[in-house]
Amino acid sequence: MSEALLKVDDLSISYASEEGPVQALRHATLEARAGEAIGIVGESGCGKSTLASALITLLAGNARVTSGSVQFGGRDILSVSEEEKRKLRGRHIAMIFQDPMTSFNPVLTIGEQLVDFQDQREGLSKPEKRQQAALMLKRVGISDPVRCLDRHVHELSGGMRQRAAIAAALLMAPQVLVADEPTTALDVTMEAQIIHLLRELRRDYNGAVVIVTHHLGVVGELCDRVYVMYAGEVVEEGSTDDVYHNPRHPYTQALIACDPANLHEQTPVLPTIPGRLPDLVNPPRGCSFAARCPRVHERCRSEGPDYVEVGPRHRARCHEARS
Amino acid sequence: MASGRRNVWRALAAEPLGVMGGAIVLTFVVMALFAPWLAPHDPFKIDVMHKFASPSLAHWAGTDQLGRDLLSRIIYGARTALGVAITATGIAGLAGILLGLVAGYGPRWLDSLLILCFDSMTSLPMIMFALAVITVLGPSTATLILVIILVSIPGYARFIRAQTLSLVRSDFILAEQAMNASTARIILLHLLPNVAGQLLVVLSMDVPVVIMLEAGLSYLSLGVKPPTPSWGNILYDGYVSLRQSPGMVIIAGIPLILATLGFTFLGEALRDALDPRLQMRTLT
Amino acid sequence: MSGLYDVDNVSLDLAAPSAGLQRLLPGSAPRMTILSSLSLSIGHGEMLGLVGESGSGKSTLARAMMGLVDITDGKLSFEGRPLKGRADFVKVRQGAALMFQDAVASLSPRRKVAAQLIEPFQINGVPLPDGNRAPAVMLERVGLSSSLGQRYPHELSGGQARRVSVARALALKPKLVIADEPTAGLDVSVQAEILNLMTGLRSDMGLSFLIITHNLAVVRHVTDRVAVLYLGRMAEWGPTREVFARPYHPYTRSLIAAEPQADPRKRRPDLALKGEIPSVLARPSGCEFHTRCPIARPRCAVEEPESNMITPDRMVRCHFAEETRIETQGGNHGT
Repeated sequence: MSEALLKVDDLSISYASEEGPVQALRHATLEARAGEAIGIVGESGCGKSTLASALITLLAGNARVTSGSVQFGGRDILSVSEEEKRKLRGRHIAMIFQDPMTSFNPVLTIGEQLVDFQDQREGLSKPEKRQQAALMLKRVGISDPVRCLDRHVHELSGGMRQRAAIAAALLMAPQVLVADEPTTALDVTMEAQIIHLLRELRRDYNGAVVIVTHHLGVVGELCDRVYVMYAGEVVEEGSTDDVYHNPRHPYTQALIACDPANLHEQTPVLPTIPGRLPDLVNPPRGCSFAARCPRVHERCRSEGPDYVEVGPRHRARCHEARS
Repeated sequence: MASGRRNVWRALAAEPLGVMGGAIVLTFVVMALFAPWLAPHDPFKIDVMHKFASPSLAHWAGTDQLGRDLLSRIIYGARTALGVAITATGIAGLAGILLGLVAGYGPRWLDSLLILCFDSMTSLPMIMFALAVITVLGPSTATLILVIILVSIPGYARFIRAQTLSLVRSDFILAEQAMNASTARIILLHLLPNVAGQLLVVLSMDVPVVIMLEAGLSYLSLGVKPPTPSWGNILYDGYVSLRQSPGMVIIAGIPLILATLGFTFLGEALRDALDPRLQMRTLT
Repeated sequence: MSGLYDVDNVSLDLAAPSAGLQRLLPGSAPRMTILSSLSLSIGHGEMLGLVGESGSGKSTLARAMMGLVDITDGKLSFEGRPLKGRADFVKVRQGAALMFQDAVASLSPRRKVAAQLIEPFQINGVPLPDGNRAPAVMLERVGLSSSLGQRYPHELSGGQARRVSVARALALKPKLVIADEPTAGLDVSVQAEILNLMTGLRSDMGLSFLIITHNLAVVRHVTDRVAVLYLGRMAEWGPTREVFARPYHPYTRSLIAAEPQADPRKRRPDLALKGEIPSVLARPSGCEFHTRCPIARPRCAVEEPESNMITPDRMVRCHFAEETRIETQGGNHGT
């Protein structure tokens, strides 16, 4: 097995708020290996966006790292200087956002920006950089790349925009590609096309891909490994096949059961997860899922569960994970 | 959950410049309202024996060419300045809101007609227009207010129209239409509250402009007629007697500068505080 | 046969956005066809799904049905009465409610939730059913705490805002609710809660629903019938169970195949539908789907397909529907 390219170790992040620090991410541990696609999946408020912004060192102003680190290239990238962080982003770690409009400046053409993104690449003339940009656009399935270079982002359709954003992210051949909800703004057919494209690109890309989404289907289609998050914690991790076919954490089980795409028979009443997320200013002392868990015990309310190994590279934060 | 209005106050209080602006504006308002009690002397009382007196315990800001107490005249001048400015911007603002909403939400032909009127108004040079009206009606405080109202309406109406146009296609307006809401209801309950706040900001930034305009026209003897105390009149008197008493111009200028800063700071703080979505973003 | 709401052969054109001088030349302004000869019928107590990609005209149809956009041609009728003028739509808006895709944006930003909930009563001159308690009762009916009435729309979560819009839609006890993407942007568990709320209300109040969405999983579970729209024209409709089991139109088949599978063992290596939906300004000739259709033949580019009633309750607009039907019935119709 190859070495981990990117490693998140015991990372905790909180946000300052009027009521006190919101513990949005608590003791998250994760690794992404070269040539591997991992998925981070969970519902709103689970901390996946905080984790994603930590991976690309773009934390919000009121965020504070209270424990742990993000290891990349032998150092903690959260504690390096702003200048170093800027160099890392784009060159080594790139991001695809949910809304591709935010990746581009509306007043510049796609070509101008794709040339700009290569400013750290030395020994290449401007026409050569433009050539590179056109090649990359072709690579992501834009049929007329030269024409696309002269367009502005608002002149492209939703699917084209996301393709161009992917091209921009891959332009500098980053070792880590983070995609935050890459298909959420698209409808089914465009979603299928972007998934197809990402899967194709993975074949000759030997970096690590991190997909952050609330959509189990996207992870199912794209990822080798999956991290399931709930209330700021990674509650289960394992290969996508293990987690989807043999989920060990009650939250993972409930999440999979809720997805109408997984129900084969038409049912009048869809399953839900009763209850609400715990208050992240004062997280519960025991297991964070205890209040909503169908298999809760006395112990769960008093003692937070540690990881329980349930298989090869498959573990869950649940006292009952083995039963 | 705190109510929206309390949030506005809290956000306003969080801006030091806004608090300062508010304090200055409040001071002027108190001056204007309680001028008879606050003024140490009668602002009209002529005392030629003590003309051009330097600041002293009896006359904190000195006296003018007729020996009238300058501080008292400045305090009464606040009454004129704010009276003209608030009446004029208030009426112009109300008319602007009404016309802007009608232009933005009403039928296309009415919009075109109103825009034509606004454009013809704005195409006249403001000073020429003011001079023309004053020549016809004669200089007086009422004429001054009328001129300011006529000159300001097109700008406010255009501002409200632009704001309205950006809202008419939004979902909540369509949702109201889908519930059979009448045009009057949509304009008054749903469009007005969403555009009025922004106009309040513009208005509070415009008050000092109007104060300056009043002072300027009064200085040119086209506005408030002497002996009524007005900052512009005092400034004019100070200019005329610059040789004998150079301090008068400066003393008359100070309230103008303070009022401009006060209203501008308040307006900027209001703009930040009035947007509830802006507040949410700073909280989370 | 007349249903609760009938859309009969409806077309809708809009002036295309033209730039600069072009607008000044009379008669040269291009028209774009948003909806074309569309027919649809929603039965009493029925839940009908309307699916298609963005740009297929789904939301425009919803707005036209509420009289928010004027149709160019065809006939709309509600409870058997044809809708001709403004006055007719006043009645429709009392008997039918529209829920918007963006629930927060469909609430007036500077009014409290409670005030907005009672608007339908105030506007239509209906006395409040529970007096002062009306907003609280309405909120509780959709599973929300009555204290939410004192909040502003931007203080609600996505799921809460959606419930508030359900509560407001139900205020006047309508017969039909048109829900535009009722679950867009919601988490999976919240999505299920909203759908359960809607199906529950339907059986309690005998409501009809028109659910407009591109989420096929939603349509499959909650609707009785499904209609598939492509570029403003109906491609196929029929009972949901049958359409999903045996889709006859190649577009329907592609849509179903495009759904991401939450199961790594079911990954599809191929791409079901290539390219993007064409612009309404460049509507393809013949069958509008031929540019992306996997089974297109020369005839499709020239000749418009007829609406073909394959069985009494299934319509397909494809030249080869009959062939497809025989094919799928003749053997492998497994999934």
